[in-house]
Amino acid sequence: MTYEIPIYILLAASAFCLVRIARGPSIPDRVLATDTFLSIIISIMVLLSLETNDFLMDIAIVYAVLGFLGTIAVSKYLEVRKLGE
Amino acid sequence: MIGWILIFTGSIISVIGALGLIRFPDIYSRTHAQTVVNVGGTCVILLGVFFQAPFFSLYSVKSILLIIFIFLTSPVGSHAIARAAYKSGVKPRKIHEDELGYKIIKDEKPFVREKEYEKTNQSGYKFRKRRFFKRRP
Repeated sequence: MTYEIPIYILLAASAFCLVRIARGPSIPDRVLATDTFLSIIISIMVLLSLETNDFLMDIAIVYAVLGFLGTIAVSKYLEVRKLGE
Repeated sequence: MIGWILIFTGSIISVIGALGLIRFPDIYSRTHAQTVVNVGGTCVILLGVFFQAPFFSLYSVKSILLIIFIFLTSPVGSHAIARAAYKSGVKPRKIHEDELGYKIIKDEKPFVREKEYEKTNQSGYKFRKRRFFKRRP
């Protein structure tokens, strides 16, 4: 069985997220859509690495950690309007 | 076979969640769509990958690790974004009364004048101006 059909469906979902990033009215909308886009990209990476057994799974783990840190940093910045507190 | 069914279901659920990300009216309901994509989409796909990979190899253990990490960090992230949106002044749409606004006024009482504090508690159905978002300089 090939894993091409779920990858195409997930690409459609990431296109919807890109629409929300482009026309989100406020900054938290864009952050939320970026987080969702990151999660969909993680699942695409895992499906790609299932077919060829290479290192994309480790990249997916590191990408999840970095995306979470970015979300928390941007939301803290929006709350306090000051970095380094 | 179970893994294939789980992967297909997860991809369809994440399409539905991304469609909800477009269609919902404001950010406080879009957090719901984000949680659908994170937990219902990505975690189900990773569970399918766990069944599809050879049993308890390093690969499937990594997928279980990623499931646990996404379960822990997805609610934290969406709560932080919603809180930052409220504090930075994004209004929720289609509600009559902002009850959290009163609570924030009560907490930050020394920064608000006394008359306006009483007036806010009595007036029912209006949004106040954003006096309570001011902070100490």
